[in-house]
Amino acid sequence: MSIQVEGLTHIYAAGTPLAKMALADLSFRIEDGSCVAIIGVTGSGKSTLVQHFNGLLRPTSGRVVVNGVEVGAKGADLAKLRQRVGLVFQSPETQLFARTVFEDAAFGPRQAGMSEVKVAQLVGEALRLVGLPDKEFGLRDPFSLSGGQMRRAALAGVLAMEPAILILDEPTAGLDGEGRAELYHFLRQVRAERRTTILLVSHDMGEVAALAEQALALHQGRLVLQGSPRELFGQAHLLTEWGLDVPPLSQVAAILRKQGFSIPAEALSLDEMTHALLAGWPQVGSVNGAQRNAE
Amino acid sequence: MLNNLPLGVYLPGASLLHRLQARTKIMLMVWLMVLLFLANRQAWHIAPYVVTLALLLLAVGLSGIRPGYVFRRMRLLLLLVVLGDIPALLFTPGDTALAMFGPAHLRLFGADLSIGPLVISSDGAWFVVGFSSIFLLVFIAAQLLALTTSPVALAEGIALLLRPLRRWHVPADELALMTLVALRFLPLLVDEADQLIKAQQARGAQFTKGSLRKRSQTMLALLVPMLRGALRRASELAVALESRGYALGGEQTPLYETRLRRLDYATLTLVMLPTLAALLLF
Repeated sequence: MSIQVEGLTHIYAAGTPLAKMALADLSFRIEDGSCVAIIGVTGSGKSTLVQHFNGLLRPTSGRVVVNGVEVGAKGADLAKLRQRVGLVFQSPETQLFARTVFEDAAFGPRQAGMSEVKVAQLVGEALRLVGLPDKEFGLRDPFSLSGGQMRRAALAGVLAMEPAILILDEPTAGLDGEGRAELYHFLRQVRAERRTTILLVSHDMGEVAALAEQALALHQGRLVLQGSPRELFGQAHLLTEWGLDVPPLSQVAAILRKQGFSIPAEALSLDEMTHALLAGWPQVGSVNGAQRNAE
Repeated sequence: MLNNLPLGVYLPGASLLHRLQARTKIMLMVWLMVLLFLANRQAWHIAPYVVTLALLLLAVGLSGIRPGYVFRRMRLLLLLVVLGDIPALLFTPGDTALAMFGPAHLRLFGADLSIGPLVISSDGAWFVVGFSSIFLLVFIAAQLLALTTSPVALAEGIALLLRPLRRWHVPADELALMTLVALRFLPLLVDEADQLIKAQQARGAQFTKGSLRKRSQTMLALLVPMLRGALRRASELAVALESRGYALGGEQTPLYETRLRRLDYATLTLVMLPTLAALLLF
């Protein structure tokens, strides 16, 4: 399913003295099956933006069209839309409430009125996808799990509705390195098996580099940059200006570039950087030579 | 969903009224209230009302808040006052009559009905004018206080005013701390609840549809995480307080000294003197 956004503006508490412009005239398109990161600092409007995609917020003006259906329109079936567009909020483990992992993940499908057989099948599938197989974890108390596992259990609750679009708001915030790596692994698995369109809200550029093909940068409610992570990280000075960190590797690349090494902007992985450095070696010598001559 | 909950009406700003200490504003509000009630004991003693109104209008002007906004918030009270005034105006007994209506005679279904005479007495008129004015004036004052004082500053102000009562074992500091904690946590809890409602909706929760059984299950999906969150926060806060040396019964010292300044004393004088003069001299 694709998402089309045209001139989207959102103002909180419109018409009161506390009115606050959160999104200003955004337009972009997200293609079916892609993995897109939405980046920006706290307060840049990321979370506000994604809440428009499943109808939790309505545009103040502009249009949001998901799979050909306008979200804000009167009479739009929101329950159906929310099944198709799964939104995983920040720290989703705080939403767990049921006595067992299975019961918790079954909440969505049951609310949709599915039969118990269907529910069991969907939940079993979702739990397997996030690495908490029903047999082993289904009857466990969700609050007895580790932080990373709790988060994945909450993710299963959304995946159990088989969404065609999966939106994750800061999915790895507060997780340790291991928890992060596991979550990335399972997200890639979801994509590979279901061809789910994934939207990733993040200010962790390492995460963006690891998962996304496209990135939209928001700054104070405006769409300021759009492109692949490679193109984005090539413009480190802009990202820094908007309060975003570039991944450590890109930082090193930027420093080396200043020293006269020629490293292409799109080098993102360690391998690519090594190649670029080795290929540019004689060139480096000549730069140093030129400097020496100048002295 | 919960964004419009009227938890506080505070509008941040840097006007003269915002810069006054909360204590000053609370004292002035209480002062005006007492003064107006005293003035009300003597019929048609309107000088204090006029002076108070003038001072409040000046205050609205100095608050940096659009007058229209203040008065729009008063519409409901205005309606209630008018509704209450009508019977009070018509049925208050008194010695001097200002106006008389009726008696009116009606013939309904063969029976004679006579209504009235309705007499508007001088006492009735004063009752209506006096009390309506008090209501509206005190309400404007309270509005100004709430609009220009953050809830936290307000609680601190009340606590400071209650401090002398500690001599009689009124736990003013503890009450203040409890109020402050509650005030600081309320917006957090509201945010959390808002977030949770959205999160569970995103998971397919339908709070307004389905059988009672189904809906109660949906409510559980809201209440359990909320309670867990609140308890977790409370226990974290308790640990944080204790690790910073908080003890019951101990005397607290504020990080930011909130002494009354020249502006506060000037304002107190400029309000108290003219109103007192209006009460006693005219």
